[in-house]
Order: sequence, then structure tokens, then C-alpha cells
Amino acid sequence: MERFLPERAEKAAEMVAAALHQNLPLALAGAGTKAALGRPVVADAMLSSARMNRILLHEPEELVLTVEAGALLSEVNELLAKRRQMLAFEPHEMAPLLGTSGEATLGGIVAASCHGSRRFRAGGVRDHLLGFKAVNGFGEIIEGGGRVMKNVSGFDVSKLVAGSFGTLCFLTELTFRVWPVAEAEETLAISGLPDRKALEILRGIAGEPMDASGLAHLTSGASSGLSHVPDLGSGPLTLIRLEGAREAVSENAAALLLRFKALAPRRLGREVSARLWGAISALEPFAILAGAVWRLSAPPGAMQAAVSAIGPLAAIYDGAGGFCSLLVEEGLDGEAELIHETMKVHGGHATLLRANETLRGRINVFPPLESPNLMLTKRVKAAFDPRGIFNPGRMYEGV
Amino acid sequence: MRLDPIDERIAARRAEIIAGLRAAAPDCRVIDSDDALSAYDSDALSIVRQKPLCAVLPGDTAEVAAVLAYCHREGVNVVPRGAGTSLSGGSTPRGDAILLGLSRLNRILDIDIANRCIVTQPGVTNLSLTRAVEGQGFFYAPDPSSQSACSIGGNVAENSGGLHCLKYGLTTNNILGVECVLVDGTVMRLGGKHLDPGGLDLLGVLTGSEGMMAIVTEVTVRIVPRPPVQRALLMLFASIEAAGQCVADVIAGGITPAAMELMDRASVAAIEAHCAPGYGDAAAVLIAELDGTRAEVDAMALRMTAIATGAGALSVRESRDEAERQKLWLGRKIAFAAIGRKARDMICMDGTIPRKRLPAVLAEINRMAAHYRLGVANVFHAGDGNLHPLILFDAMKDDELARAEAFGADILKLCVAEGGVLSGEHGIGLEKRDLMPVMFSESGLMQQQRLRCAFDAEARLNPGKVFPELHACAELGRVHVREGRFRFPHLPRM
Repeated sequence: MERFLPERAEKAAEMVAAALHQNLPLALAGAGTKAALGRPVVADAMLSSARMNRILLHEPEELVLTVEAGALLSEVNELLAKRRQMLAFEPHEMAPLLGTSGEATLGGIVAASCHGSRRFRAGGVRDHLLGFKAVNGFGEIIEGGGRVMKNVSGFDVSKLVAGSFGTLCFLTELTFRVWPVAEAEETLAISGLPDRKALEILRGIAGEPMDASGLAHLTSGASSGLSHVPDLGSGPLTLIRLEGAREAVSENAAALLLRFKALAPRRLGREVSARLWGAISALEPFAILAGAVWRLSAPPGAMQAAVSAIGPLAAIYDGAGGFCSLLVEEGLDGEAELIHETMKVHGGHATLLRANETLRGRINVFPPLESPNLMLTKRVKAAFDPRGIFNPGRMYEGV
Repeated sequence: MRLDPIDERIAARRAEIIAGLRAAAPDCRVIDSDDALSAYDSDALSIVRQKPLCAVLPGDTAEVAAVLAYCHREGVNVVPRGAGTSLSGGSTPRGDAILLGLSRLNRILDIDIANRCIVTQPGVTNLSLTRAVEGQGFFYAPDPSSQSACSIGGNVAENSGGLHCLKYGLTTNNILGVECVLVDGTVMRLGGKHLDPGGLDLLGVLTGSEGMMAIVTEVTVRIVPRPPVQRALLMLFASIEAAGQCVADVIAGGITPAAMELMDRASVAAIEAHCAPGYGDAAAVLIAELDGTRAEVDAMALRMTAIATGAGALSVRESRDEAERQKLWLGRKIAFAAIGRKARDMICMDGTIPRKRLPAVLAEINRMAAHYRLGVANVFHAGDGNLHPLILFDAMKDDELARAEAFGADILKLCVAEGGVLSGEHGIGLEKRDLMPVMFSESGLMQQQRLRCAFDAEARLNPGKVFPELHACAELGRVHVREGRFRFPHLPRM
């Protein structure tokens, strides 16, 4: 496949116009680390933002960052860290999980709505993307949102672009809100809790005002993949991350230690904590194991029942049970329908994160939509890309 | 500000339309008497008034669907309305449209503490949601100042904000799902009690669409644990620059206050004259609110006091109890009333700017005030950059209304030029629609309208709002393929 690498939005717009003229479907990409995510796309050419990789603006006192879509996550993280700031939704590399190569771009992270453990508290990509520029399927340069967080001027198109998997437009520029890195961070780890009990505890803490910014539970099949992180012990692993002012974190940690004394909790300091949550956000335990990986979203109170109905090989619950990633055996078509159906019954949904291309071409990768939703989704797609030249079929047939 | 000429062909069918609605939804309240309709001739942007064809008050989702299906079939415009508190004319009625009021859908359906959410009908007021869960230690975070009157359905339509946005976000960051009715009467659900949509984030774009995409008939909102301690800090400054510096240092120092409000010299003088809260002759007053556990608030208050002192604060006062916290906030809470006493009429503008541009923007606004020969006072949500200049005028005097409107438009253009936006929380509506090209490119505006076409191809829902010109969807959807260019010229390849 030919790859086209514009260096400016105007060039990208010319290329899209040319593709329109020739009715040429385009695969849209950043660095391509998430090419194995979604339904397989059949396209003759690829349009990539890899050469549009500048960081355009970072104003720490305004909590704002503007980058070109091809900017590398690693470079952005490094820049923000120097000023003790961060992208609070915990974007991460997905190449190790997906078996692809290269480094993630911010454009790809937005398109795939890639967020981590802090999502339930701090919001996801959709909540932190303030504005964007892109080329639509008419070959026009469009913009949406702005540079400030409080903005209700016109439709909130940024929300739609986040998680649209390149089916609506080719992103060229992105503006995010950034957050200060918390002064202190600490994680409590408890080993050996049964899933149901662990999730009950995590949900309870999510309802308390102590700024827990990570509430995760790993079944033994998943926690064994973290053996490179020290001090974790073995068996199922329940994790509580506290972030905030130094005094507050140590006070809350002390209170939790006392409350769960009988469960023998261990305190993990900032460095180990940061490594650990990075590994959980990126689903590192599943990177080294074979099988299909699903991402579930459900009402926190319903998740554990849904997961036990599915019966995965391993599970990583996150966000106090609002999210869960599953490892299941690959290659069973019926499994996909069971998972979608189970999640629907429990008031949530499932998305297939990792599977071989054949399987991704055959089953519903994204949650099946009811007819009015699917029809509306197709009309929205057509409002951006009427000829269907961007990532055809990546999310749904015709979308 | 102007109302569009109405479609006389629709207005002429008034009797037939009213009869048709009564037949289509027999249990739905249809208000058609001239007297009763006076109550529905404007929203909170009360300088623009027009009676609707009739007001329709459905009692459930099925009636909303029946009314919309009828209007869709018969080519009748629909203006939705929650509590009618929009300051931008989001629900300004039209003589060629029915007014669809959601006030009768006023029940909370499900309080689900385990999943930290409430399922509610759209006519429930914002404050009622917090009232419903505060006993269990939770609250609903977005708190527009109209919160005792405004409805949650209207909040979704306008993506309402409030004082606490910096820490807790806007409506869009605090809702999980909706049931809504499309223009043709199709009922659909977006989201649920879980985070993140499956598929495209249609809920995200519906939120803040100002009643132009669908009618929301049920909302699931997230609730947040209520912080045990709230504390106010009152800081006086000798210049707006020093206060602005303090705000920048607080943010860059990694502190996220729950709220941070700044008032300029004109506001301070008006408030001092009204109730003398002890601001003296400060040129700027900054009030911050910290919330969290006691340890968290103690630590933050210490750091913030040091930052304020470093930025040259004349004094810093910290509330010791709830009564004192209320007292420190009092001046800010009565600011609009105090300033309003100084003039017959007042318009409240609503732009957002990058915080650090505040001193420059205020200086320019004061220069404009001299040019337009009108008074102005500024209240600023300093935490999130949302600026509320209050323009004082007397509509009965010669051309003061026109001057006030021109002044307001200049302020918003200034906000955009400084890297900000036209509206931080009031919405575009009728009030600011003609300014949209100041902020968006032609193609950017066309894209938003195409998106609207995906929901409502005949532009029947809330026509005449948000966009300066009406384009037909068929025209907007046309692809103009440029002439025979060779394949991808002059581009680097791999």
C-alpha cells in the first residue's frame, strides 16, 4: 500500500481532493500502531499524519497544549513532565498489546479514544480534547471547539471526533487541556480477594471523597503478568491509587490501611505505583499472553456479574468496575455474540481490542447498534465523508 | 439581534395545526389562547419577544414522539423549551413554530447510588438533583447560577456550566446517557449508566446542540461524592494585574480550586456601595473555594495563601466555618444585583479568554466603554477563563440599546481575537448567531450545519438559532470534485 505523508493540512486537503476525484478509498493513520484495531479496512492508499509531528504550544498556566496530529505521545509526555503536568486521561502505547510496531501519535490516541485507569475520575479523551483541525471527506479544512475549557460556541464536534477511528475526518491539529501532576501518589495493594468482594470494596471507595484515581482488580491470570513489578505478591490483586496533596494522600492511605488491616494491604511508593498503573492502562499482562482481548464498559455494579457470565481466561477490572478488559480464547465466533449479548443484558457494551484479522472481519468489533442508532451513525458519517473514502468499514459496515 | 421573518404559510395554518396536534396526541396539553401564550413569548433573553403558534406540553415520551411525528409530517417548525432560562435566546419562540415545553416531564425516575447516577426526566430542576442525593453524601456537580429554576433537559441542550467547572467540568462531562426523540418521532437511547459510548459519541455532540438535533426526554447524570470540607479564601489586590498573576501562579502551581472568582474595580465599588462586605478600595477582589478532605483543604489553603502573598495581595482571609464561608461569598453572590442597581438595563456578556490575557482584555473593554459612552463592570470566572462583562444602559434613552449591543459584539470579537471563544456557558442561540463567522471558518460552519442535517434534514428543530444563514441540506451535502489533478503530486512517499 502506498503511504502519503503530508506535512501541512493544506497538502492533506489536496490529497483528499485528489482521492475524491479518483474515488480512491484511504486508510487514515498516525504511526499505524493501532492498525490492528477495528474492522479490517480495504484501501489502496494510506494517508498518514506521521510527518505532522510538531508540538505547537504549551502554556502551563493556561493548562493547554496544542500539537499536530502526528506528534508522538512520548515526546509530549516528556515535555509536560518537565512542567509537572500531564494528559490526565492516561494515554498509552498500544503497540505491545496489538503486536504492531512504532510509537503512538496523539492523533491516533484521539481517533481510538485511548485512555487509561484515571478515566473514571478525570474523564477520557473526549473530556480533554478542547479543539481540533482536520480535513473532512469533502476535502475541506475544518475546525471544531477552541483553546479554552469553558466553551459552548457551536456544536461540540470534538466529542464526535474522539473515538471516531478515522471514519469522519483526517486529524491535523489537536488542542488538549492538561492537568497538574499530583504532588503525591501512593498505591495500596491487597492480594487474594475474590472478585466480588474486591469490586464491592472498590465501588465503596469510589463513592468516598478521597480522590482515589485508580481502582483496579486483576484476576490471578492477569496479575501474573505483572511479575516484573516488585512487591505485588501473587494471586488476584486489588489496587487503590491515591493522588493529591502530600498531607491528604498520607492521611487517606493511613485511614485505608487501618480499615483493611485484616487483608494485609501493602503500600507502594510513587515510582512503583507509576510503573504499575502504566502497565495496567496499557494492559501489559495481556501483551504476553495469547488470546483475544475485549474492552467492556458497564454500570460498575453490574460488571462483575457480566464478566462471570462470560467466563474469561483473565480479567483486569478498572475504574471501580466501570471498565473491564478480558482475555478470552481466540477464534470462537460464537464467543463474540455471547459477549455482546451479555453486556447488553447488563446495561453495558463490549469492543474487541485484539484479535486476528480474519476474526475482526467476521464478527462485530464494536457494539452492535439498534436500527435508529445505526441509521443516525451512517448519516453522521455521510455528513463528514459522503463518498465513504475514509477508513471504509472500520467501525461498521458502511461506516 | 433580529428575529427572522416568519413563514406566513405555516402561520396561516394555525387553526388546522392546533386541531391536528390535538388529534395526534389527545392527552397532550395544547395552549392556544392569546392570553395564556403571553407567558410563553420569550425566554430569559427578554428583549426579543414573539408568541409561538401554540405551546404544547407533553406528559411523556410517547406524546413528545407523537407531536414531533405530526410536525414532521406537516412541515411545522418546533422550538423546544425547558424552564425558559436561556440568556442567549436558545428557546426564543417563533410565530411559525410550536413551542414544545418539557416542564411536565418533571419526575426523578431512579436514584442509583451503587452506580453513582440518577435517571431523571428533563423537566426536573438542576438543584433538585443535588437535593435528591445530598443525604447520601453526593451531589450533581454542574451548578449554573440559575440552578434553582433551570431544568436538566435545558442544561443538556446548552451544555451548561457553573462556578465549579474548572474542577468538576460542564454538563457534557457529567452525563452518562439520554433517551431522546428525533425530529421524525423516532425514540432512541444514547449511552446508559456506563462511561463511553459504544460506537460514535453521538451523546457528546447532542449535548450542547441547543435543541437543534433532538428532544431529550430522559437523562442519566453522574453524581459525585460531596467533599466534607469547603473553604473560601478572600484576597484583595491593589491592581487587576496582581490578581491575574495570582490566578496564573495558582494554576501553574498545580492547585485546582473548586471555584475562583475575580471582580474588577467597578464591580467592587458597586458591591461595596450596596452591602459593604469590607472590600475597601481594592482594585480587584479574588475569591477562591477549596474543597476536599480536611487534610487536602488545609494543605491547599496554606499553599494558596503563600502564592497570593507572593503576588502582592493586600490581605488574605480564610473562612473558619460555614457561616464565614457564606459571608466571604456574599459580595460575589449579590454582584449582579448590586451592579444592576446602577442602571435601568443591563446585558450580561459571556466570552471565554485565556486567563493570562485578562488584564489586557479588561483594559480594552474599559477603553471600549468610553468609546460607546456606557458603563461596564466585570465579573470573571477566573478558574476557567469565563468573562462576564455587565454592560449598563437605559433602553429608553436615544440609541443606548443599539450602542450596548454593538459594545457587546465588540467584546466578544475581542475574546476570539485573544484566543478565546464567543460563549463560555450561555450558548449562541439567537443572541450571538451572527457572530459565529468571527470564530469559525466557512467550512467549519458548513460542517456543523451538515452535522445538523444528519439529525434534522429539513431544519425544523429550533430554526434560526446558532447559525447566521440557513443552507439547504441538499446543497451542503454536495461534493465539489476538483478538476483532473494527477494522482497525489509532489508528496513525500515511503
